[in-house]
This record gives sequence, structure tokens and C-alpha cells, in this order.
Amino acid sequence: MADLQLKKVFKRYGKVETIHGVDLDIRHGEFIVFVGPSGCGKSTLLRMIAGLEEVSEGDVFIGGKDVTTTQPSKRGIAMVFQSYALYPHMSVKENMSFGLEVTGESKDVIEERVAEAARILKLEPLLDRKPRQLSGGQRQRVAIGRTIVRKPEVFLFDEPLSNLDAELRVQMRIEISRLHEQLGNTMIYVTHDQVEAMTMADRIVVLRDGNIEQVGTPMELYHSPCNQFVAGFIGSPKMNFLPVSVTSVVGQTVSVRLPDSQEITLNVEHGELAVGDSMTLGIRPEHFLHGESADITLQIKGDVIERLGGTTYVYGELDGQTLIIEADGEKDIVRGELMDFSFHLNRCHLFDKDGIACKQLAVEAAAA
Amino acid sequence: MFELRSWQARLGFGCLLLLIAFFLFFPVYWALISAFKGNSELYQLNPTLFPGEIHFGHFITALTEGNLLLQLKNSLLTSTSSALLNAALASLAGYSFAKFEYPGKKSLMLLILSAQMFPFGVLLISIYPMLQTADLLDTKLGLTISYIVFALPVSTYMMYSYFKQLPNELIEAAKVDGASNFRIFYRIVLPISFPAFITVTLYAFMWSWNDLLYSMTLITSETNRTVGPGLLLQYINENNADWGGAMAASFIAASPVILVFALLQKQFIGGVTSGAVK
Repeated sequence: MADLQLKKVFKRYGKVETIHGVDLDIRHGEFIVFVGPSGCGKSTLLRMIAGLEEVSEGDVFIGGKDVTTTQPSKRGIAMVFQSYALYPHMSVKENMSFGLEVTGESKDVIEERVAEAARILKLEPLLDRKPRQLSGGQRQRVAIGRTIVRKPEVFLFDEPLSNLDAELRVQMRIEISRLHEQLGNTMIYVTHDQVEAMTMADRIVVLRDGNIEQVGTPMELYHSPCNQFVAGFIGSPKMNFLPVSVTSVVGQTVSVRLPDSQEITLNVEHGELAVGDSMTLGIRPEHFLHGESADITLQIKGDVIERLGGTTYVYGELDGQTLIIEADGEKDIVRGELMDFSFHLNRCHLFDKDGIACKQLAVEAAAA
Repeated sequence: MFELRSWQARLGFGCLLLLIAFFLFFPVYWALISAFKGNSELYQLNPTLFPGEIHFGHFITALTEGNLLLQLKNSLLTSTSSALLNAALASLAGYSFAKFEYPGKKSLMLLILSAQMFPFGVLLISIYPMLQTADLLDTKLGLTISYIVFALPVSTYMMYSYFKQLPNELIEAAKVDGASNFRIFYRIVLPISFPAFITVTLYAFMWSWNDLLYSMTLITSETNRTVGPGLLLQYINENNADWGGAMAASFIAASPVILVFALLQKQFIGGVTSGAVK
């Protein structure tokens, strides 16, 4: 059983602290994605799990064993690096067998494991080639093959697809997901691409400034982000945020005024709130409907129209606030024209002045 | 890079290159034709640009009389061993400086590099009594060590620069694979740093092969003498100046370096220019 726990893990470089006491529980066989903006500490955390970065404080457990000070090779992990890190002077076969040679496996075992990995990753015809003779996608497969042969308990991926072009990235994304299905091992995957996170993860760990913001399934994060940062990070295009002010608070019923002076009332869990407080209303671009069919209607003038075929993105303004709206690609949308877009109140997210989400309980009223 | 747009500019540039090439190669050409001239033609009042008659006498004399072959053997032994040892030490030191963190690393590197700041004549003054104390004066081992002392700082820096640009991920991947630091060094780092290793080896080899001062001072016996002082003492001395013999012997002496350089020039250029462009 290769479950993994991080207990109050800190990372400090001299006086600078980059990871601030992270706690995380990963179950055996899970596909976990660490996601967050550049510099949030996701790669550092992965490298600490791998043993490539010293843990300043706290403990790392893999399969129930404390591996905080254990050598990388003794942790039962294997890692795929962003730059593939293939040994350039060795053939594909030598690259894949190097780790097994080091641990003193017999030739028969090495042959068997390399053949098996090559079969899984369709690398058989490439075994005698050098890395420079391979395409980006093939190199990536070799890098994954190198990890498979070692039969690790936990696979670690450090932004493995970021050097590939868009098409290949989608292809490799599917291949890695398939591999996870096939092998059933615990996998931890670092990316800054939230599409990769959403499509591959069993659970996503959203990081910011060395802290975990939220851990949850992709749909949990999408539907119930715990704060404005997560709400903005998960989903593409990102969630629209409108500044609103509280006009009344009666128990859990909060009324807020939109920038265009419309008032909406929502039933939310909240902390201390007073009339006049500033809050933020979040609406995802894909939750807008063209026309007046939903609870609240906004009049938007589209400054920029991006047509992608199936969908059209409308970039407009509402009293100085930029909004992105995802509309049906077939709709006739004209740049510069004032259009009605509406949304249902149960699709809204309300955040207090600290950016903490106020969870919706039920919608009580529509537009005033 | 600048461009030469007009034919006049290209012609001017070509002439300049020819002039530089003339200054570089004319002495070599002169030495070569002198080696093939007979003594009468060599010492005549109006020198000739082409030998009137090709004469191999100087080469035969150089190879059959005197100790040229022994001196060549001594030079080959001291230069090769010092070059290889120097490259091995420089690789280890350069790797340590480039890829490990430890207290005093910068100061230590500065200290090693500072050895290069002293003229090698000055270094010789301190090396001499040290070799004397170790009873290594007039030995090939002593000469080899002294060559390493001189070549090591620059070689270390060259290897350091090369290793510095190697991606850390390669080393980390090998670590995750379970390789020890030493295995990572000889199985991963060294093979991919072959051009730099060759460059450093050639640099040390050429320096040792062309040395005159150290060998002249540290070696006193005829049996341990290397080719540089050997040529000087045999052909150009106060009683005698056999220019034809000196030139022929010089060409024989230079041929191993030319041969090694010709064989490894691709790696040498690769090593010198690596890291210059991404």
C-alpha cells in the first residue's frame, strides 16, 4: 500500500520560508495533481517527496514508513522531469535499464522489465536509438518508461508536458491517464495548467505561496471553491469577479448590489457581515445565458469577440468591470452591440472581503 | 557578425587574412624548408625560398645520432601522464565546484585560480625545493607533478564552466535511479563532458610538451631529459648551431602534438566553444 502523508512540512532557504507547514494525505492509487501559479511551491513540495530537496521541518511518510531523511532511490518513488532528463549518451534501452543496473538486478530481470515497459509505451522500435534521434513525445515516453521499469510505489511527474506542443500535450495527457488506469499506482503530478489538473486528477491540490488552498476532486473545486483564488484558478476562461456591496443582512440572507445597481439576494453561510461591506460576486463565463432566460440579466457591450467555432467568447464591460462570457458559437453576436446575458443565482459564488467563499444554501429571491 | 557587402570590402578582408596567415605560417614554412636543405644551401648568403635539392640528411642524423628518440619517449611519458592526471583531477574538482554545495567552496575555488596569477617562473622557485625535499628532482614523476601544478587551475575552471551548464535534472534523475555520486560522475557526467575532458587533456598535453623552463631546471640527467631542452642543448649551444638539424628534429618533435590535435580537433573545438551559444 503506497499511501503518502505529509505532516507539517516546511521548507526554508536560510531565512526565507517557501513551504509553510503543509499537511496532506494521499491514498494508495490516487492520481493527485499539484496545481498553482509559478513560485507557489508545487515543484518544491514534489522534490521534497522525492528526496531531492531537504525537508526543513516536518515528516514525509510513504507506505507508512517515515522517509523524511531517506535517499531518493530508497523511497520507492520514480520521477519524470520537465526536461525529460534522459542520459544523452545512452540508447533508449540503456536509459531504461540504468536504474535497474544500479540496484544490481539480473540481466534477465532487466531485459524482461524493459521489454514490458517498451510494450506498454510502444517503444519497441526505438530501443536502440539515442535520445537526440527521438521526437519530444517519444522522449517523454522514454522518460516515463524509465520510471515504469523500476516498479515504484509512487510516480512523481514534474510538469512533464510543458515542453510539448499543444496537440502532443493532449495526446500524452491521455496516455498518462491510461497508464495510471493500467498500473494503478499512486501518481503525483505537478502542473501550472489547470486543464491538465482538471482532466487528469482524482483530486487536485491547489497551492499558493507555499500553502495548500484547497484539496478536492476537480468538480468539488469547480463547484465549491473555498476562496476567490481557487475560484479564479480553476476553470477556463477564469471566473468573472464583480465587486458588490452588502445592502442588507438578515440571518443567512444577504442582499448585495451589483455594479449596474441591480440587487440580488442570496442565502449563504457567512461570518460577520454588515450593510455597506464590500464583497465579490463570482460568475463563470460558461454560466451566462444569451438573452433574458435566467434570474439576473446584465446588459453587456462586446468589445472583443473571439470565435472558436463551437463557442464564442465575448469580452465586455459592466460599469468598468471586464467580463468574459462564453456563448454558443452559432449565436449571431456582433461586436459593439449591446446584448443581454443572464445567469441563474444558484450559479453565483459570493466571497467576503478576505476572499473567503460564502457557501450558498438556497436561492430565495431574484432581482429586486 | 558583421557583413562584407561590397567586393572591395571582401577583397580587403581577404588580403588582411592572407597577411595574418603569412605571419603565422611563414616561420613554419621556413623551418620546414630549412630542414630539407643541405648545409651548403642553408648557409649561403642569399637564402632560397624553395630547397634546390630535397635533402633528408638532417632527419636521418636527428633520428640516429643523439638522444632524440629517448627524449621523445620521456616527453611522451611525462606529457601524457600529466595531461591525463590533470584532466582527471580537474574533472573531479570542477564537478565538485559546479554541482555541490559546501562551506568555503568559493574561497577554495578562488585559491586554486589564484595559483594561475603567478608567473610560472615564480612557481618554479617554490616547486624546486619541494621536489628536492621529496627526492623527486631529476625524475619524470617530479616533472609530471610540476606540470600538473601549472595546468590544474585553468583546467579546473574549464571543467567547472562545462559542468555548470549541465542540467541538474540529469544528475537528479540518476540519483532517483539510485546511483552514487561517484557512479553519477563516471557513468553520466563524464561521458557527456567528453569534449571538455579532451580540451583540458590537450591543453595540458601541449603545455607539457612545449615546456622548456621546468624541464631544463628540474631535469639534469641525460636519461630523463625531455625533447624541449634536448633540442636546445644538442643543436643550439655556445659551440655549435646546427639549424638544419634543429629544424628537422623540431619537426619530428612537433609531429605527435600535430597528430593528436588533428585527431581530436573536433572535440577540442566543441569543448572550447560549448556553452557559447544555447
